[in-house]
Amino acid sequence: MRVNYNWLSEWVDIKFSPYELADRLDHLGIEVEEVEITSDDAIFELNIMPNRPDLLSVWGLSREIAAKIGRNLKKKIDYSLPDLNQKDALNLTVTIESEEDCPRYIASVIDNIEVGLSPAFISERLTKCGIRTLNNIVDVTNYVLLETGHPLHAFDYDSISGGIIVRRAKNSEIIITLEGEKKELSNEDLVIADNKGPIAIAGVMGGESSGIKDKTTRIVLESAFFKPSLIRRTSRRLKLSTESSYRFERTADIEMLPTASAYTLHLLGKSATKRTARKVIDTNPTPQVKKEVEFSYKNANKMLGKNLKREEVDRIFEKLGFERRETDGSPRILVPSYRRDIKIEEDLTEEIGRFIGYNNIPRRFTYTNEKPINLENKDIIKIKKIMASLGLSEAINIPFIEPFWAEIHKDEPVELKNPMWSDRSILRNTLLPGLIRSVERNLNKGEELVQLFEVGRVFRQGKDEEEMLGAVITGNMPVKWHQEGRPVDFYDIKGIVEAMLEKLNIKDYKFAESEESFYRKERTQCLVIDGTVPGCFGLIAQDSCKADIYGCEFKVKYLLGALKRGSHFSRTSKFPPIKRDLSFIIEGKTPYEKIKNIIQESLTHDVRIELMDEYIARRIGKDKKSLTVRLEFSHPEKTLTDNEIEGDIKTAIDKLKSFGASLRE
Amino acid sequence: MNLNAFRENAKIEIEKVKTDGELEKVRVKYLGRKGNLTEVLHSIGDLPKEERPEAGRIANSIKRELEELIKEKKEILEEKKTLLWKDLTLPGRKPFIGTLHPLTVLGEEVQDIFIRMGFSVVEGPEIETDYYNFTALNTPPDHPARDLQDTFYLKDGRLLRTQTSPVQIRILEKHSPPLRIISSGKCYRMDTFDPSHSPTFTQIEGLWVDKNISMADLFGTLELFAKEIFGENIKTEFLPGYFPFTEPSCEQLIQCPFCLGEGCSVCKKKGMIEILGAGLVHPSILKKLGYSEFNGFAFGMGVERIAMIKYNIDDIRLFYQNELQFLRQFNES
Ligand SMILES: [Zn+2]
Repeated sequence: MRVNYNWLSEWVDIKFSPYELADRLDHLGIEVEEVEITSDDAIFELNIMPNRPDLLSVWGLSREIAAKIGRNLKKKIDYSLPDLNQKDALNLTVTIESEEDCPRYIASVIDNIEVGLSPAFISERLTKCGIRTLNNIVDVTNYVLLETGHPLHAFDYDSISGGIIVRRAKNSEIIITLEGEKKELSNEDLVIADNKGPIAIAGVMGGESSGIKDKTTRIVLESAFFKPSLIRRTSRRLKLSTESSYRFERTADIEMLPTASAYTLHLLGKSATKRTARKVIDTNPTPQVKKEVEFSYKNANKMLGKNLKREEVDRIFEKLGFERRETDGSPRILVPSYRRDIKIEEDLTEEIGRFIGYNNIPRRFTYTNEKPINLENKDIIKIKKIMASLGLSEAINIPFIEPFWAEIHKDEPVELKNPMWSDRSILRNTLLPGLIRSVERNLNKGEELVQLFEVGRVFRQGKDEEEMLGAVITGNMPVKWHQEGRPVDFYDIKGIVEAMLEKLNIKDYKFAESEESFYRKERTQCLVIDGTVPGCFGLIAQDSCKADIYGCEFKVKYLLGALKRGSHFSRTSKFPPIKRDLSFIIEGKTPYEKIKNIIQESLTHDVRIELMDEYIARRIGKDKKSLTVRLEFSHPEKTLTDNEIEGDIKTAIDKLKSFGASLRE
Repeated sequence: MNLNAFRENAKIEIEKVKTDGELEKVRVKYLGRKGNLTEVLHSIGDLPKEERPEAGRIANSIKRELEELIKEKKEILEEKKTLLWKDLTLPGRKPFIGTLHPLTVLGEEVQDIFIRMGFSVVEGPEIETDYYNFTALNTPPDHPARDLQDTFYLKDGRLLRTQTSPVQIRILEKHSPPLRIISSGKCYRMDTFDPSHSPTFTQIEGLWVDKNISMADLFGTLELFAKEIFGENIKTEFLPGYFPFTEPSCEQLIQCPFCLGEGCSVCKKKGMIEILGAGLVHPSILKKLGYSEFNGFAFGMGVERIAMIKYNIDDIRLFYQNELQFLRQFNES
């Protein structure tokens, strides 16, 4: 809310500058967003906590400032409604359908109204506080709203047909608001109606038909209390937030109703009429508000970590207008009706803390020797560090994606009811769309090689959210003075996967054919660990991508499940291995992995088999390829001799030949 | 002695030599005045007369051969002392370097500080129910505090958590106090995507429940934290705040690092800047969980906010756009 310095000064003797006042307000928890200095005044933009509707007024703020700086209020608003038994009273009835929805309603009828411009002091202040001026009637109600915090509404008496009825709207009932907008109402909305239909949306906005017009001469002034949750729901649903609804939904002060009415009548008497009210109706002149709160000085001190004396605490309560009542030794604090936020002793303790100043509370820290409940291990960060060590940078994406990604995975999507971007209307079921988006952004920025990873959750309807690791690489391995450039390919992503598994100390895994439709079927494999498939990798099949993007995505749970904690050392052989290279030509589509496994299985010694070269060229033969593998023989206790490995070499060659391989010399 | 064997031994030893000193030793051994060759030449006198000239000739040729080898070796050793010229200003063959996201780096730093203070790290779901996200946290439907957190709802009625606080409830349902926990993760609020707003953000939540926890414990813990993260000399203060699930509530501020307290546009000329919200856990929450005899404090901070302050970042969107130019700047990990 906006409020000006001069108006506050009228209420309390502020002996310091606007900036100094702002600092004090901040220390009371009343956040000053901005101080705007004008030639003769200053305007504060305040951010009032939702539990303190009492501060949404000049009066309320002044009360708080006065208590803080130890002064009394200079001004008083203590007008009361006239006691009317006039014979010439104007006719009006007020019917309340439900006292729960509207516990109190005061209607005052005033005639001899002359609608015109407001006096300068009113329009000036309204303008400073950011409220548009309309006419002397509406302006006065707004002025009173700003000063007392209580919203009022003025109806044109002669536009009301029959009496005032406060009732729930009928479903599909229509009202045209003061702003000329047509709103469809429902049974969830509270309205002020006459016998023809709604004349105002209670607590939110008046209707056009019953509004103050230039020719209005008689008005009904409404000062009411509406059930906060009702006003809130209506205001949300109709997307109508007004100064009035803002205060009603935060709870109005039910005891303020007559004062606000009387004050309005007083101001109208100065600006719009020579007559006083011709009728006043109050549906609940003595409302019951619970105001007593139990309190213990000892508990308050314990909570604050202070040792305040009773007198100090009492002084704060007194300044705040809280009364102390003691019955059988246990003090109870009587809280004014405008402080509906104070319900329990902790609330009172906060008041003490606020007024002694949080900076006067000591600071303390004690170490614990309790056992941590479950130090959820730091494996996720371990995975992240591994990926970074492999040259990939960590990305974090907003997990909203387009629905077609869910279709690819045949996942039941988790749909947003109110998406941020209408096309990205589901929660991600895979990390890849976000990573692809990031890749494209980087390519547009001129990056030649983009290598990114992300660890985050994915969502599928009916399943638990699941932590995933995703990575993407695209672009070219850079040209350097010592190396030639080349586009990244399948073996780059596979190498990253292999290195990651090695760093995670996962040894028992294999790669298998993948049917993951996310990738091009000719360029994808999946990872298998112990019969489970943590995920796949390959060339991402997305026509929309402008570059070839290779990616992988794994369920973190499976990776961590397979992770072997603690490395085990096994004695390495002291004796150097013997190496033999075998080059052979073989049918082009024979999988290397298969050749390797079959050779490995048939050998008697410990042999490490490594691919040294793959070569495909016309001159080798159509659909043929040449492979060179290195066999590394080792023995734990001796250096092997040529003779000792001769048998294995021969077996290996025989196996190769069984594949149709022809040995090259 | 067999001359040929002598020659082979000498050649092998010269071959093995690695330093000038060793070479000199080998020379002395074989060719010196008291060397083996001298012995050999002396022993020639013992040979039958007719064999002497031939033996002498061979011995001399061995001597010349070894001298030649030593000379060659000397040259080789000499050459090894100076390497071929290379342009050492060429860049090195650098392996690819990846980086951790700044939110990860900072999140870890924050977590580690609290772990040292005895807190345990726990987790909770990002998709929450209205109950855990609001109602159990003393924010029933129609509570005006819900305005502070515009919520993403799912079509199935659940919602994306607007804060990590639901984790407090979930943990307290399973573990009884005393306990100290922290939890970090993505949270969601229906916001615009502009330099100071993002629909997702990362929150770190802390909770300490025990008997006799006071505001002094809360302030002490958070002040310690601020000093760890922003440096020993950072000035911090606490202002009253409002959260439905804490009472009393507060906000922690630190001296604005952009103007060092002088006042600037970032801190709205206040010289101090808010870093987190906190308070004593509202007693109704603990009571509902059956822990009326306990109390405690809770705090929550946005990692983006702390990172923006710490690294001087002025646009929150940078965290979610993943530009390598941005990411590469965060190498501490
Ligand atoms: Zn500043």
